[in-house]
Amino acid sequence: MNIWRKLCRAVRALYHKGKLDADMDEEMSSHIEMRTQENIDAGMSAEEARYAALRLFGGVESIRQTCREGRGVRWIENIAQDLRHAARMLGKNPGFTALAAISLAAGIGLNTAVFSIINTIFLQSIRGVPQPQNVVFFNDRVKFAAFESLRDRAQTLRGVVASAGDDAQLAGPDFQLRDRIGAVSDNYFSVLAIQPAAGRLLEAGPNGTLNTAPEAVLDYRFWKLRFHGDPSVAGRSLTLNGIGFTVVGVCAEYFHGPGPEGPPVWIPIGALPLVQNRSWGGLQSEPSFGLLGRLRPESTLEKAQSEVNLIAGREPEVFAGAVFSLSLGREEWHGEGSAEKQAKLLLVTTVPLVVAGIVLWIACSNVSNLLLARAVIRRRDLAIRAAIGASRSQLVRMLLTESLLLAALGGALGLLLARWTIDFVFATLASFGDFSVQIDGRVLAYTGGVAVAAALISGLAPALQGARADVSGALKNMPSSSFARSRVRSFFLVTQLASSMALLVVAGTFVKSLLATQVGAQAKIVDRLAVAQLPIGQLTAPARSEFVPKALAAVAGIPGVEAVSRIEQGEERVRIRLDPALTNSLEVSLQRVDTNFFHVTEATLLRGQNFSEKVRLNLPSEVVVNRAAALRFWKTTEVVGREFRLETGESMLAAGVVHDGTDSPRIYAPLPSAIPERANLLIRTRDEATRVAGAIGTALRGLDSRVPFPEVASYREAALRSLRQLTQIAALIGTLALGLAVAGLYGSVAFTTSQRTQEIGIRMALGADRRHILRLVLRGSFKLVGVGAALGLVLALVGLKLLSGLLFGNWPFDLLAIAGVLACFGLVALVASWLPAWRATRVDPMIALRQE
Amino acid sequence: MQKTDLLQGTLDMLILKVLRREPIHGFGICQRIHQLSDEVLSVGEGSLYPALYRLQDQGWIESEWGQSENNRKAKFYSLTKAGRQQLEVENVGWERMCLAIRQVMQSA
Repeated sequence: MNIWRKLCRAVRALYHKGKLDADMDEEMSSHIEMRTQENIDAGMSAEEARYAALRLFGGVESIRQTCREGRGVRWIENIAQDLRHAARMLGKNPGFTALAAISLAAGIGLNTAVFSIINTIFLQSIRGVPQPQNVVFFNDRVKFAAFESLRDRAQTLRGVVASAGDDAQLAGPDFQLRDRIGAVSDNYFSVLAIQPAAGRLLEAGPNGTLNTAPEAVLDYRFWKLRFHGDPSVAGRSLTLNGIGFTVVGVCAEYFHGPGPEGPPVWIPIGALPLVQNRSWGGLQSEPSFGLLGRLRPESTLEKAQSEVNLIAGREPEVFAGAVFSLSLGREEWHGEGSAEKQAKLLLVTTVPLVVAGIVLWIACSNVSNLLLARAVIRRRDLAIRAAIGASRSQLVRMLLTESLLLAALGGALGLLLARWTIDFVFATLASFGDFSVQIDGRVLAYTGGVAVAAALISGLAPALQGARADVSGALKNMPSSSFARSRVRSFFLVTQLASSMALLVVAGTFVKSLLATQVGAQAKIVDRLAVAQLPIGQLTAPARSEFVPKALAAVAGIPGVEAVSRIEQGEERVRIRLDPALTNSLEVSLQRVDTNFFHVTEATLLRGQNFSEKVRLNLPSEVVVNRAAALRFWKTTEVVGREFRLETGESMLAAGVVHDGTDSPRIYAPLPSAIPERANLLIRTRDEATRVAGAIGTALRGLDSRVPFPEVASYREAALRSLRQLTQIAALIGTLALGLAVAGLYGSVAFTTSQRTQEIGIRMALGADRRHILRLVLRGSFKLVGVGAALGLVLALVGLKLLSGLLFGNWPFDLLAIAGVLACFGLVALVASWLPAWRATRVDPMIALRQE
Repeated sequence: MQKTDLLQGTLDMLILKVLRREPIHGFGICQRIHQLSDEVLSVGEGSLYPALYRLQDQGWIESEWGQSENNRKAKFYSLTKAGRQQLEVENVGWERMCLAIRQVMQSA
C-alpha cells in the first residue's frame, strides 16, 4: 500500500477516532449478542448464554487495542499525547517557558532576519513582476546607444529595458530628502508588465520618440508615506534637484525595481539630463545602464545569449567590447562571475550567517541549561515514570517533544522579532533606502529548520540526562549533586561565554578596522583631518567653479590649517578590466580627488608622478593607484604607464603609485570638470581638527549668501557617521550575545546556588562566615568565566585570522578592544554571579537544614 | 468438538474465501468457517476482529452496516476487487504449500 493512502487513512482514523471506536464497540457487542442468541437457542438460560458468549469472546479491551493498532495511527496518537503533555508542562511553568522561548526567539529571529535579507538580495529573482520566470538579467551595464541597439534588434527577446540610478534632492509639498532615483527606459513598465496603482506609468514620447518630459512615477510606499496615498496624485508636482516634475502615476504595490533597494521615484531616461543639470556630451559622462529583458515564449536563454552577443559583436564601438552573460534570476548569484566575486559573495553571505549561528548557539546553550536545571527539579516525576514502566526512549521522546514545542514557540516569536528587526534596521538606517525584505516561503522553511535544530541542540543533552533517571535515589529524595557538577552544563556555559566574548572582540575590531579603512589616509594623521561639505546646489555651473577655488583659498588662509584639497564625497566601487580581451573584471574603490590630495593626506609617492589635471581629450585619463592595488592587480609596484579600463568604458593610465596606508586596493582619479552640488574639502590641520572646525565653518559661511550652512566635521566623525549603521548593527548583535550569555550565567549560578542551600547552611552552621560563602560561590562562576574568556580569545583570534585580508583589508588584533571587552565581561559576570551569591549568604542555617 | 489451531497466516485467506460468495458480518464469518470445516476449525474473536481490521486497512475488504438475518444491526464485510486478486494469490500459494508439505510427509 502506498504511503499516501496510508497517511490519508491515518489522518481519517485520527479525525474520526471517536466514531471509529464507537463503531468497533457496537460491532463487538452485536457479535456477542448474536453468540448469546445462539447459546439461548441451544438451550442455555439468558444469563448463562451471555456469560458464555463473553467468555468465548475473550478480553474485549485487548482486542480493541489490537484493532486500533491495526489502524496504523498509534504513532500519531503518541505524538499527540506527547504534545499535550509538553504543552501542559510548559503551561505549568510560565516563567521558565517565557524565558526559554524569548531566548530561542532572539537566536532564531536573528537567523531569520539575516537569512531573509540574504534571500532578498541574492536568492530572489525580480519581485513583483508578472511571469518573472522569463525575465532575463544582463550581467553588464551598457551605454544608452547599446541599449537602443539591443532593444531594436533582439528577436529572441520580447523587449529589453534599461535603468540607471542617480542621487537627487527630492522636494515636495511637505518633504525634502536626498535619495537615489530611478531613470528607466520608456518601455520599462510595459515590458515588465507592471500595472499602475494610480494614474499611469511612463510611456514613450509622441511618435515613439524618447520621452524627455519631466514626468515622475512614484513608488507605492513613497506615495503612501509622502503623498499620504492621495488617489488623485497624478498631476501634482515635486522637484528633483530643483527641477519641477509632474507626477503621472503610482507603481503597483509590490514592484520596487530589480534590486532590493527601490527608488522612491522613477523618471524617463530622457529626463535624467535635466536632473543632472548637464547634457551627456560624450560616452565619458553618460551613465551606464543596467538591462533586463523578457524572453519570448518560444525562445530559450541560450538563443537569447548568442543573439545578444552577436548584436554586440557587430558594433564593438557602441558596446565597448562588452560580452554578455544572461541569466534567469539575479546576476550576482547565478552569473558565472570571477572567482574573486564568488568568494566575496560567499563571505558576504557566510559571515552574517555564522554570526547569527553563534548567537543561536548561545541562546540554545541558555535554554539547554534551563532544561538541565528543570530536569533536576523534575527528577522525582521522571523517576516515577521510569518506575511504572516508561522506557528510556519514551522519556527522551517526551522531553524532546517539550523542547520542540519550546522551539516552535520561539520560532513563531522569532519570526515576529525578525520582522521587527528588519523594519527597525531599515527605518533607522535611512541610507539603506526602501529596502523591501519580505518573509516568503523560503524564509519560513529556513526558520522552521533553524527551530528544529535549536530544539535538538538545546533539548538533546537535557533529555538524555533526564531520562537517565536514578530511580531509587530520586524516589528516596536524596539531594542531587549531579547538576552542580554536570559537565554538560559547564560545557554549555563555557562555550556560550566564549562565543559571546569572541563575537564582541571581533565586532569591536571590525568596527575599528573599518574605521581605519575608511580613513584611508595615514592613520596617524586622522585626528588632524577635517571634512567640509559645501552645499552649492543653488549656484549655477560657472558660479560653482568660481566659488570652489575661493573656498579653497579661504580655508588655506585660516591659521592652523596646513593643507586643503577637494575630493568627491565617498568612494565608488567600480570594476576594472586589466585586459579588454578578458571578460572577468576586478572590483576596486575609486576615489576622485584633486592633485593636492596626496599632500593633504601625507601619502608617499612610491613610483611615477601625480596625475595632471589637464583634460586629455581622447586619451586615457591619468590616475594614481595605491600600493595595494598595484600589488593586487599587477603583482608589482612598477606599474607606471600601464593602462586599464573601467567596466563603463572609461580607460585609465596609471601615472603613479602611492602608499596611502591602506591595504585595500584603491584608484585615485582626477575630479570631473563639472562640480557637483555638494563640494567636499579635505583639510589637514596642525593640531586636532576639532579645534579648527569652528573657524573653518565661519570662514566658509561668509563667502556666499547662496551657500547655506557648510558642514564641517573632523574626519573621524564624518567617517563614523557613515559607519554608524554598521557600528550599530555590530553593537546590537554583540549586546544581544552578551545579554544572552549573562542571562545564562545568572540563571545557572542562581540555580546551582539554590541547589546548594543545604550545603551552605551546614557550612554556616559550622562557622563559615558570609565572606567565605560569597567567595565559595563566586569562585565557581569565575572559574567558568575565566575558561570561557580564554577560549573566547582563542576563538576571536582564529576568527580574525580567517577574516583578515578577506573582508576589509587587514584586521589587526586590537589590544584596546580586547581589554575593553574583557573588562566589560568581567564586570557583567561579577554582577551576574554576585547576586545569587549574596542571596546565598542570607541563608539562615536553621531553615536551610530543616528544608529537606 | 475438537478445535484445531489455525495455521499462521491462513486466517486471512479463509476470511477472504468465505467473503467471496456474499457479504457477511463478523459473527457469520466465525460460524461459516466453523461449518465449512465440519466444525474442526474455530476462529476466536480475539484474532478475527484484528484480522478484519487489518484486511480492511490493506484495502482487500470493505464494510457496511446492515441488518442481520434476525433483524439485528451488524457490520457486513465484502470483498473488494483487490481482495479478489489477493485471494487468487493466496490460493496459489496455499496449493503450493500443501503440495510441498504432502511431498515431505510422504517421502519417508
